[in-house]
Amino acid sequence: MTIYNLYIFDRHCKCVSFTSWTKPRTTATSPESSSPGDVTQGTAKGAIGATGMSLEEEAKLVYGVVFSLRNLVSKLNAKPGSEGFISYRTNAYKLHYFETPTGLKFVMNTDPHMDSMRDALRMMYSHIYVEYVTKNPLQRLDGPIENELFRNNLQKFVRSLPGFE
Amino acid sequence: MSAILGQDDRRLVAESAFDLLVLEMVDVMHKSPTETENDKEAAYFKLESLGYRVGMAMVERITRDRPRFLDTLDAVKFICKDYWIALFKKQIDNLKTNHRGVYVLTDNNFRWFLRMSSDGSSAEISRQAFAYLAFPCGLIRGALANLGVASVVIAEVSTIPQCTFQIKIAKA
Repeated sequence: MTIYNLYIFDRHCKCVSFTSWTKPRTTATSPESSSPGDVTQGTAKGAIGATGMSLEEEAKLVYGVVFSLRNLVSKLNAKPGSEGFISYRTNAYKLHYFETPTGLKFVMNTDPHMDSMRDALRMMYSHIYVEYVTKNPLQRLDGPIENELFRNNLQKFVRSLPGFE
Repeated sequence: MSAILGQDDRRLVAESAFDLLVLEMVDVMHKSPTETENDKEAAYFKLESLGYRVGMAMVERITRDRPRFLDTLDAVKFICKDYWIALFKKQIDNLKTNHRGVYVLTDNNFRWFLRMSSDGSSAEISRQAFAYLAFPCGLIRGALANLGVASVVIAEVSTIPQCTFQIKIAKA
């Protein structure tokens, strides 16, 4: 039961934050198990995403998947006021999705046997993002999140989640 | 800003609204078409004057039921305790004086700096944070002025979230 990584996208479809708790898989000969203390973070241009592609490419892919699924689900679902797309599961991972009314999107990948992370994502938004990004005068909204307090609190929070390894 | 002031509990403002207003206030004052040193000083002066006026009014409300102050030290101690609690929900952590009209107030965990963080260098962050101290300087100066003490207040920030305010009392 582990958490693999977390993407945060803003209203303009840009990835403002990416945090990973596993080593990126680069070649077949690299070690399989990831050490618990290993974290990669960042939104820098040259950063590597979780699958070894450049972060920009990977973020676009993830965003595309999530966007299409969300539209698909909302078209199929006739009941008004229901939440729409929440998560999908494959045999390798489970992807959890949380969207705020302001257009901020949280995408988290965990292992397939995890329960719903919706509440955790909501807590992350209201207690970490709002506190350390929206209320931070030194952080430009609509740009990449480069902020010590935000990163530290996010780390602390995720490590305290019951599903973390 | 605080429930201890008013008897009527229904007329409270959301704390987040106040926090965000303060952020915007400083940003707005600092936006100008030219980035000269004069503009920064002008913005600082405007914010300080705003604080002055607000401080005068605040202190009228808070000292409504108190007896008169014995001397300047008493007034400064009041600012460190009740006034700071009403504004920032905590006291000033350290008060130093040279008994000749200079007081240094130190706040180790200044409320407005609690969420400030950025990836720049510490010096850079301190420089940016300094702009947010103009309003509290005015608050202190206004409070003292309305208590009958003319003063000059200078703020300093070395590492957030700690900041100091230096009060120089004008000679009578």
